[in-house]
Amino acid sequence: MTENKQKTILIVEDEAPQRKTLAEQFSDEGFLVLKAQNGQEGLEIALREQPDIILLDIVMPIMDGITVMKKLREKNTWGKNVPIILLTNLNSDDETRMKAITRDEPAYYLEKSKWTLSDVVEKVKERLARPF
Amino acid sequence: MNIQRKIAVVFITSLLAAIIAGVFIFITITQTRESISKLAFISAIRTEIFNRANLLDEYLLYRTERSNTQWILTGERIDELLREAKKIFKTPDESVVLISIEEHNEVIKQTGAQLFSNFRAQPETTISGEVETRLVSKLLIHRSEMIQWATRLGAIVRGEITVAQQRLAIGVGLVTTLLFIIILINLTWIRAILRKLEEARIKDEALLESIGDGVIAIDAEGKIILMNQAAQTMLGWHPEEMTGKLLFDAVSIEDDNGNLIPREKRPIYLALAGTTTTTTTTTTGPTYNYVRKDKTKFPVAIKITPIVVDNKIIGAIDVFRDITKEKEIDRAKSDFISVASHQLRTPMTSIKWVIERFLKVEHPTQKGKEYLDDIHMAITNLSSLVDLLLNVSRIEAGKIGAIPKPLELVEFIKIYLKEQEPLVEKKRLRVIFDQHPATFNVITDHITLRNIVHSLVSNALEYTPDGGEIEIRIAKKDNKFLLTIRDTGIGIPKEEQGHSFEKFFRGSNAKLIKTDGTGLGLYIAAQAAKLLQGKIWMESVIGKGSTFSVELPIESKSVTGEQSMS
Repeated sequence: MTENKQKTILIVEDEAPQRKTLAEQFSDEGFLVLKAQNGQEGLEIALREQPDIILLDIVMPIMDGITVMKKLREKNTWGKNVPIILLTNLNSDDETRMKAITRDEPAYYLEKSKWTLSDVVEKVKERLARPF
Repeated sequence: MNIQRKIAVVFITSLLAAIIAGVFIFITITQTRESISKLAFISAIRTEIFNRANLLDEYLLYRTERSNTQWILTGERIDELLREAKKIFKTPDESVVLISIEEHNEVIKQTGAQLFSNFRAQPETTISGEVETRLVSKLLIHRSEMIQWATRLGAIVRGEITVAQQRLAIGVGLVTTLLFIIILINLTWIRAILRKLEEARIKDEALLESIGDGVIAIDAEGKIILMNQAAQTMLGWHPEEMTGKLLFDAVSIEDDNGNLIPREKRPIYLALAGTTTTTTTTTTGPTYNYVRKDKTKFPVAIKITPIVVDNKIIGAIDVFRDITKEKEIDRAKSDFISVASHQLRTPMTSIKWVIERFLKVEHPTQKGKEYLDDIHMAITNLSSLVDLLLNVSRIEAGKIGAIPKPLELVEFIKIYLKEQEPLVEKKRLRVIFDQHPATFNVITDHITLRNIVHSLVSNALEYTPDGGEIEIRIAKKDNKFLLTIRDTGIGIPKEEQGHSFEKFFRGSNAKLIKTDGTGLGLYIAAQAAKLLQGKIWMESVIGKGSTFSVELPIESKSVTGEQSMS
């Protein structure tokens, strides 16, 4: 199975260095990269551009990642099913994180400080390879 | 002197007083009875004497009338009286009386007998004038003397009566005074005792009321018998409303998730049922929440104990305090740690990823690559450090729990070792993992076990010089397993080995190799082993190497804790 169509990835991350490096890495890998600096912007872009996958930071100003995820999930079919991978540096037992994971869906999440950029790319590709 | 002694003394003195009074009264009565006997006897004698005197009158009358009246043979009667008198009277005074009576008796007997015999012989015979006169005057003298004696006896009798009366009066007076004094003393004491009791009661009450903690006491049926001021305030109830009510109905308690705790599971119920004492604090034990009158609730730290008297449970006491503030502080501490660790990781991630890009994009020189690798390593260390500190602070707060799950240990270790390959290769170390069962299933908390393995293996890797050897073994031991990590590293000096598992400990030789170690790795490993109900120990020879051993149960029990290790 060949991937002819270029995949679009939306990176929602408020930390500039992280956002930039992620964007570059995915760009190198052939993705079409969209970026957002905060949750609000991320939501707008997501709804407008409907990317194939979203990398969503949790702790962000204006609107945090959990809220974005909630809002997306309550939208039309697209929002309900778009693959989301949460990025976070929150502790594994932090309430916000646990709530996000357990309540909404067994969402994917990454602990940023433990993953390299390449790892993140791997994860994204793996997720996209799954049909559901 | 304490109250009980005082009461005993009061009782004893009263008893003694009663006994003394009784004895005294008995003696007095006995004396009086004796006096009365004497009186009776003396009266009898007086009567006899007067009878005698009357007989003389009779004689005189007889003489003039010349009747044939017989004289009463009173000789026997007098003898009888004399015998009695001798028995009772022992003093000289009375013996004089006796002798006088005897004398008179003789005179009378002689005189009477003579006259009688004369008259019997010759009823018509008269005594010649002179003899008669002499006889009569003799009789008259005797008669007046007799009367004198009778009077004297009367006086004696009166004297006896007076004495007896006096004695009685004195006796009664003394006894009354004695009793009075004793009663007075006892009353004073009783008052003092009652006052002390009242004081003590007031003090106890004041003490209880001033205790900041709430105190509720219930009887064996669960009815409230005491609720101090603090408890009232905290729960919003008045004691009048509560006394006599069943505690179970009046105050309900919930667990931390808002679930009502059923009666049989309530600590105070357990205390009544058996001798179970429950103690919880802000950091240990489940957190109970008491529900106020207005249905709001607050977290408490409790100590509930049964009241046992003579081996019987007669009630229970609940001492509790509101720990809302403490919980808040605790939460603030946890939050701070959480926030701090999160905040620290953010720039670390940025640095890490930027370096990754730099390496990829800028194609640095060998030297440049070296520098960047060093920075990358430092950042990785920093990241581990943050996790380490997070763990330590959680351990300190007693918040760590363990959730055992099935784990295949051999695979677990193999995966971990694979992750360490870069460092192993760099230091050209030989890692041996042969001695173990083909597979080994255990039930344990994964993260905690990983912490132990990581702590020990990373130490081995760090402190074994290039070209050295590290061996890991797994051995089964009944229902436990033994994990050993042996290295040919720098070892720990003998005199320092006792401190190995202490917080912040770093071997003096280790400090020379790595200046910036935390000294927390072994501490965490030890705590982690404890959490899994296991043991950890080590053997080491400086310059030769160390062997760390961890013995853990194959099936760990779960431990309640708010958080797990990271």
